[in-house]
Amino acid sequence: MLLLCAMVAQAEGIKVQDGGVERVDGRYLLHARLDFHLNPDVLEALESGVPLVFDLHLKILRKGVWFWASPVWERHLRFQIRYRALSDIYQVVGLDTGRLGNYATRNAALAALGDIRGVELPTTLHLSPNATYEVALHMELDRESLPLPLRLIAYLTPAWHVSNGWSQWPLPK
Amino acid sequence: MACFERVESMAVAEVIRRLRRMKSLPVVAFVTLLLFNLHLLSDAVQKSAELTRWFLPLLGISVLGLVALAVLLGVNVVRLMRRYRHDAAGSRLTGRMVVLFAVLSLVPASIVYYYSMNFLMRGIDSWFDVKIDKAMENALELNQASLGVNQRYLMKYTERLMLDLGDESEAALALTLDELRREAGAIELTLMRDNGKVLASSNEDPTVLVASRPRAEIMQQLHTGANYVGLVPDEADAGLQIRVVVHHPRGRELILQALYPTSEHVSKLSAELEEAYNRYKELAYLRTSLKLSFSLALFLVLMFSLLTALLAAFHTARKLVSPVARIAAATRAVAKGDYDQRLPVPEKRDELRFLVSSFNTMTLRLAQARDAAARSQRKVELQRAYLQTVLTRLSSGVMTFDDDLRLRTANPAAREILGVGLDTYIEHSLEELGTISARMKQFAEALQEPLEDNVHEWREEVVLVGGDGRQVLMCSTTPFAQPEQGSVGHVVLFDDITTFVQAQRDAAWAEVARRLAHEIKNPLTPIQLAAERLRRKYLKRMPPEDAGVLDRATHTIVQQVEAMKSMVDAFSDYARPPRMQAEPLEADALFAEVLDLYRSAGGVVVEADLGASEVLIEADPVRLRQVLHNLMKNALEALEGRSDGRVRVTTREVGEEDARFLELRVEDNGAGFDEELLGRLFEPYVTTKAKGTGLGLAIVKKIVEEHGGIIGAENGAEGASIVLRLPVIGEGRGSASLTKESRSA
Repeated sequence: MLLLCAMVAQAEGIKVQDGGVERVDGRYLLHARLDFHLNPDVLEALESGVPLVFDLHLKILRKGVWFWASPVWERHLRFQIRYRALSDIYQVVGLDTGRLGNYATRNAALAALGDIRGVELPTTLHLSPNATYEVALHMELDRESLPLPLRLIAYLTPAWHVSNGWSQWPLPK
Repeated sequence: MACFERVESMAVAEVIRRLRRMKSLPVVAFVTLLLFNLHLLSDAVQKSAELTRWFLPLLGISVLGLVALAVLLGVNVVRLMRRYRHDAAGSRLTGRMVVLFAVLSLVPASIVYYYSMNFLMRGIDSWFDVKIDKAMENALELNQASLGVNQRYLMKYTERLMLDLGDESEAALALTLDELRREAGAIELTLMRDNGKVLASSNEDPTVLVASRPRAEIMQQLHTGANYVGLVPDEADAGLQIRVVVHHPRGRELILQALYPTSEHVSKLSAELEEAYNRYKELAYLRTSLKLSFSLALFLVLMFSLLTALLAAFHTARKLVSPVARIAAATRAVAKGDYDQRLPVPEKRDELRFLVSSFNTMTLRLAQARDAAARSQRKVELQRAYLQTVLTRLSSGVMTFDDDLRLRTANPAAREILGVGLDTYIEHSLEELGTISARMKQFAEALQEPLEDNVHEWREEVVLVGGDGRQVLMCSTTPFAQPEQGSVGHVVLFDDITTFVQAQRDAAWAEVARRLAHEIKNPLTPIQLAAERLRRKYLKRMPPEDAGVLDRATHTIVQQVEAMKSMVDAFSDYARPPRMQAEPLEADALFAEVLDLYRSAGGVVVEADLGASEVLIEADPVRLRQVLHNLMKNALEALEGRSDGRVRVTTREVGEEDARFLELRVEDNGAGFDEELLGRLFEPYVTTKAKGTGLGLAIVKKIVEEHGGIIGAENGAEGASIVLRLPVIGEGRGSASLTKESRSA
C-alpha cells in the first residue's frame, strides 16, 4: 500500500520532458516542455472553477557555486489556468503578458501551459567569459494564490504541492 | 541611623512587592498579543487584502501561542500536583478552585462551541442548498441552450456559405470571402485547406492581418468528420464570439472558419451568469475547506478562551489561596514551636487582612509567652542546679521518697554512706531497696514505720551491721508536700556518726581514767606506805593480841590498796586508745588454744563445738584471745559453787552472701543475767558479782566493736548466753575443727 502510494505520488506533479537554451540571432531563447500530472483533488478544484496559478521561476547561475547563492539573473512568470463553464473551455492566461489561450479540453490547456517556447533571456548581463553558466527552471503551483479557505488544506496536503524541482541547462556561449 | 535603615528596608519591600505584582505582566502581555493575533487572523479570514497573505503565518503564530499557553498551563498543573502530593499548604484549596474554575469555564464554552459549530455548519450548508444548486445548473443550461440554437443556425449558415464559394481561384476567393463576411455579419471568415493552411481570410478589422486559426483539438475533431461550433471569449476576453469551423459539404479539401459576434447584451448577461456560476461552483467546492477553516478558527478561539480562563483560574486561585496557604504554613511552623512567624499583611482591607493581622498578634504573644516561660525555666534550672550542687556537697545523706515510698532522689553522700549505687534504684520502692543488701534491709526496716505513718520530724539513731562492720546513722525524716502530684513526699536525712560516737565514748572513758589515776591511784601509794610503816614500827612493840590485830589490819590495807591499784590499771587499759594489730586468722584455732587452757585446769565442764574452722576473720589475736578469756572467766565466775557447772562454746558461720559473720556463742548453766541489767550489761562497772571490776564485758564489747562486730547477751533455757558476731573476710585452710568436752577448775 505504501509502495502504491509512493508510486502514485511519483506519478503526480510536473515533469520536464525536454528543454534547453538556444542562441538565435544573438538572443537566448529558452524552450521547455513540461508534463502536468495533477492530483484528482487539484483537478476537481479546477473543474469547480477554482483558478490555478503556476509560477515559473527562471534563474541564470554561475556553474560551480552553491545553488542557493545569489543568481546572476532571475525572473518569475505566472500563468493561470481556469475552466469556463458556459463556454466549456479552459483558459490559459499569461498573467505577466496578458496572453490568453482558449482550449476545448483540459489536457490541451495543460499541454499549452507546459509548452514553454521562446522565452527570451537577457543578453545584457555581464557574464564572465571564462565562466560557465546555467539556466535553471522551476514550475510550481502557487498556493498563495488559491482561495483562502483552500489555502490551509493546500499547505497541509502533499497533493497540492505541485512542482518539478529544478531543471538546469547550460547557457551557450 | 536605625530610622534610615528602616526606611531603606521598607523601600526594598515596596520594590519587591511591585516586582511580584509585575510577575504576571509577561503572561498578560503574551495573552494580549495572542488575542491580537487571533483578531488579525479573523481579519485575514474575512479577506482583508493585506492580511490574506499573512493568514498562514498568523495561524502558525496562533497555534504556537496556544501551545505555549498549554505548556504554561501544564507547568502549572504539574507544579500543583507536586505540591498536592507533598501536601503543601494551600495546594488542596488551589486544586479545588482550579477545578471549579475549569468546570465553570469549560461547560459554557463547550456549549457555545457546540452550538456555534452546528449553526456554522448548517449555515454554510444552507448557502449551497440543492435548489439553488439546481437553479444555477438550469440557468447555465438555459443560457447554453439559448446560445446553442443560435450556434446551430450559424453552423448551417456557414455550411451554405461554404457552398457559395464554388470553384473559384484563391484570388477570387479572397474577394468573395470578404463579400460573404459582410453578408453574414461575421467578424472574420477564414478559408483553409484540410492541413490548416490558410487560403484566404477576411476580417472586419482591416488592421488584423493574421487570421485566428482553430486550435489543434478543433482540427482533430474536423478530421473525424464532425464540424465544430463553440462559444469562445474574444481576444480581449471582453465578450463572447461564436466560432464555427466546417468542412466543404461536397468533399472538397477545404475548411471554413467563421467568427460571429454575439450581441453586447447577450454577452454581458452571459458573462455575468458565467461569473456567478463560476463563483457559486467555486464556493460550493470550497465549502468543506470553509468549514474546516471556520472550525479551526473557532477551535483556536475556544482553546484560547479555555487556556486563558484556566491560567486565570490558576492565577486567581493562587492569589486567593496564597494568604491562606501562608497562614497554614505558618500555623504548622507555630505548631512545631516556631513562634517567630510573621506574615505580610495584605493591602486590601478585607477579612484576610484581619485574619493575617490576628495571626501576627497571636504569634507575637506566643513568642512573648515562650520567652517568659524560657526565662522561668532557666531560673528554675539554675535553682535546681544550685540545690543539686548543695546536695552534692552535703556530707549528710539525703534521700527523697514519694507517697508510695518509691525512691525519687539520692545525693552522692547517701550513696557513699550506704555503700550502694542508688542511681540505678530510682523509682524503686523502699521494700525493693531492702533487698539490695543486709545493711540496706536494716536501713529500710528502720525507715519503714516513720515513713508509712507520716511521722512529723522523726529522728533516731540507726545501727547497721554488715559485712564491713557496724555503722551508726543518725536518721531523720520529714514529710513534704508535692503540689504537682497532689501527694506527700518524704525527705530522709542521715549522717554516719559511727566515728563520732566512738570518739565521744573514748574521750569520756579516757577522762574517767585520767581522773581515776589522779584522784584514786595517787593516794593509794601513801596509804600503802603508811600501812607498812605502822606495821614495821608498832608490830614488834605491841602485845601479841594487839600485834595480831595490827598485822591483819595493815595486811588488809596493803592488799586492798593493791586491789585498787590493779582495778585502776585495768580501767586505764580499757580507756587506752586501741592499738590494733589485725591480721587474717582462723578464729577456731585460736579459740581452741584458749579453751585448752581451761580444759586442762579441770573443774567445770567446758564443751567446745567449733564449727567455723574454714572461716577467716581479720582480728588482733591477742585482743581476740582476751575476749574469749574474759567471757570464759565471766562464765566460770557465774558457775562458782556449782558442782554441775558447764560452759558450752560454739562457733559457726552465719549470714548471707554479702554479710557473713563468725558467730561465737558462750553459754553456761548458771543463774543467768539479772533481767534489769540486761540492757546495760556491757557498760563499765555493771556487775552482779561481789568481786570483779565490772569491766570484763565492757572490754569484750569494746574489742568486738573495734573488730567491726556486734555483741549481745540473753538468758537461755539453762543459763546466760553471750553471742558475738565478727565479719568474715574469706575461707581458711580449716586446720582446727574441734568438738571436745573437758572439765575446768
